[in-house]
Amino acid sequence: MDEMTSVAAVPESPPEPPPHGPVLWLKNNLFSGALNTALTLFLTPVLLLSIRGVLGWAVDPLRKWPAVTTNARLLSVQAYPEAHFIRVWIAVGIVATLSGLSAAAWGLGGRMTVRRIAKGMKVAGAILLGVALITPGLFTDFGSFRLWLIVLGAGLLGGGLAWTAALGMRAKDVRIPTMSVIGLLLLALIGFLWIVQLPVSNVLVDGERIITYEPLANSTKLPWTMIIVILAAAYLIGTMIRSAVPNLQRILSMLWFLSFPFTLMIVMRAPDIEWDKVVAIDLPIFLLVGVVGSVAFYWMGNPSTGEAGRIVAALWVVGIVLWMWQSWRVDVPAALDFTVVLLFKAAVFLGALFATAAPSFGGPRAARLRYLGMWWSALFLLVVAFRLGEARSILELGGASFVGGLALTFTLAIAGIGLSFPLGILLALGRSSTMPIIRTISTGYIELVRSVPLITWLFVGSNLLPLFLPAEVELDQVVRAIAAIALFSAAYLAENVRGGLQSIPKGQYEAADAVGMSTVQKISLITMPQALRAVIPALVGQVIALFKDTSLVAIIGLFDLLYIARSVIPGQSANLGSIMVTTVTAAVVYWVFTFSFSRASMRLEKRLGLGER
Amino acid sequence: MSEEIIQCRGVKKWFGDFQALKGIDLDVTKGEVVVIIGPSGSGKSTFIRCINRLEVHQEGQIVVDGIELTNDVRNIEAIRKDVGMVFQSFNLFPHLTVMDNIALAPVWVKKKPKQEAIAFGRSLLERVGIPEQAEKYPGQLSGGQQQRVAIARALAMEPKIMLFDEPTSALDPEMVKEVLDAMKELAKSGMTMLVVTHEMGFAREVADRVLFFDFGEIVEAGTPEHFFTNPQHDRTKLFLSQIL
Repeated sequence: MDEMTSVAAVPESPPEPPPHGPVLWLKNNLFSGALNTALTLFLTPVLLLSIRGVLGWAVDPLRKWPAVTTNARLLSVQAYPEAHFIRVWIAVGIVATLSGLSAAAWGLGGRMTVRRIAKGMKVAGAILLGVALITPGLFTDFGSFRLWLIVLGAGLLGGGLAWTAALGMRAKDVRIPTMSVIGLLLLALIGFLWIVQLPVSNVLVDGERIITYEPLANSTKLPWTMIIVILAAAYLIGTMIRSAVPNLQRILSMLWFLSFPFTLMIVMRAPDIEWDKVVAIDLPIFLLVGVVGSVAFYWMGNPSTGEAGRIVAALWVVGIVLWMWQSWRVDVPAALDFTVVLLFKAAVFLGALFATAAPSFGGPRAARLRYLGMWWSALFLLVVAFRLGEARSILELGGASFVGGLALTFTLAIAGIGLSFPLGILLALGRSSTMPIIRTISTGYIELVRSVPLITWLFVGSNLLPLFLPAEVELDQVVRAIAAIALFSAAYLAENVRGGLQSIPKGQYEAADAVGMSTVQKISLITMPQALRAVIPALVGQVIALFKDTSLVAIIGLFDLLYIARSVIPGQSANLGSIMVTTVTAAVVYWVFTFSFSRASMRLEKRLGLGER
Repeated sequence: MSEEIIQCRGVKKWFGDFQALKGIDLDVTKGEVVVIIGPSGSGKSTFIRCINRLEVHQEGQIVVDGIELTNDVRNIEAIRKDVGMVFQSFNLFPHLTVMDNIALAPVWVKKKPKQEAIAFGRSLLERVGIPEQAEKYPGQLSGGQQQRVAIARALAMEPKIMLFDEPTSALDPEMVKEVLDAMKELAKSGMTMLVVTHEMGFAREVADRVLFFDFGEIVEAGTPEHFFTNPQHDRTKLFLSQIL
């Protein structure tokens, strides 16, 4: 033993690092052999000429870039009434506030080395210089722009080089908070909003058109600046309250969850609440169902109740489903407001869901009281959502599909994803269930939905869905599109999730069984979290596909981003022939979002990878 | 109230046409440590997996702590709360930290307050000798540490019986000892244990009774001294001569 410890006590120093440098890198990677050298010599000019071609196309005076800048609002929100823009800004402000708080709560960013920042500066500078030098033509429009590019690029490159030289070897160790760098970048963004000028075409009184230069986001630079300030302020507040609020992450998750319907409501509706209805209908139903549910769940959640609770829960579910089934198309007595029955059914149905889960989530008094808290909040949200959705909107919006452009694309994508996830998970569980009826229904649904193109389902949603619903329920065209997209996407998601479930080793089920977990607990605590992690890449692919597939809604008469870029703007007399410019712009917008999403998911995977075996 | 905490009468089990258990009769008293040895495929793992119904026996009767194992879900859930199990391949939950692995079932199945479950989990980790690993993930631990976490996870439910299904077979030789030490300590504390293992040293030192399984039957049973020094059956003699 003594010998061994003495051997281990003498540490061996690592070998000298191998020599490195730009010349050596070139030699190793680009000129390492005859074939490699030939390929380098051939492909470099090809690459440079291609980039030059693309840039040359972009700066060609024939391009009508003002078609994009002039129609920026159309591309973003289509015909949303200008008087109500404040609603859109409130929605964006809510998202910014939550983003800032979340960044602080989850401690995003950390610290980064100064060397990496300097490297980023050098790379950015080199790219700007390269663009400035490689772009063909010396026409006036681009002349001053090119000068700015050269100045900026040289400044960044020189600054980066000088910084690295000044820091020397120390640069590897000097670290600064990443968020301060991001803060500086946001500050620069605000500056750009106010300084950079873009061409906009104006129609004068006599019909003549002139191109003027206006700041980027001319009419919205003030709101955008405020949004950025809110974002930064929320982050700072978040860092301050982070230690004082232990549940901050959980609270924020819940707020994110609630923010979507809330922002949608703000943007889409200005409900005119009839308070007499609230008092006469909503309050009694809320209290009645709430109290009955509380008594029932408190009893069911008591461990000594045992199977009787489950039996009552099952009867509850069967009862409400049968009731909804038989009275689906039956006329409601005229004396009774249609909405009363609908709300009552919805509340009882929510109660049925809570009843089935009550035995699993119950336990000692504290656990049951917590469950009742969840029940009252869920019921409250249901009643509020119902009343807000049912009330007449006093928002004057031109036409049924007033929302369009990028806002519509986002609405469809977020709602589609948000709704298809739970449905897809349920379908995946149903398809891998041992219960034959549930398995058959799930499999049948998945196979049916997957075998028909999305466009067909959009038609079905737009034209046939209203036939299946009670005559009194009127659905907005956007809601119908969301329904079609979500139902379609859920089938694909279900198959992805099922793949994840199949990757869970049998030992995980056995271990969960061995500690006495129920099926619901086993799925929600053990297998589903692992299954979802295993298929993150497939789920991200699904989300990206869904985001792009929203462009298909043009076929049922909705104006999404691509449709406006492809048909509306090139159809304007001032912008005839601008179709290439506007579609390329739309493509870049899609790319920016899908690419950021895929990067974000890569980070998420890395973070969660910690728990992998 | 009888002292027998497990009673098995004529337990039979088939996998298709293959009969894995050919009528097992066994009574285990409270606090007894029973070690089951035997060649691969002799049915010893299948047998202990029948005791918490990870496998379903087709004939015979198994009574655990006065509750008979039937298809009734309530019986199965009640028995699983009283019977802890440690697997050959650990089967820790890889997406949860060590502490969450341990505290999860007490909180959700036994409805224990979370603080209490965590405090108890900490004491269990100390008992198996790895209190400093509480916030790590299973993938960051060595095999021996993972198996000790698995023991702590099973103990967190405060079981009356612990089943060990070849707990050291997937471990490097160096790590076997740390797991066996944890099991010895548990045996000394008076836990009723059924251990399937190939560790003869452990059987000799800790067992109250040794069972030798072959072809789905108990070929020989006895105290360790009797079993290792004076085996009666030819099959037992052959088996012992090959591994000792």
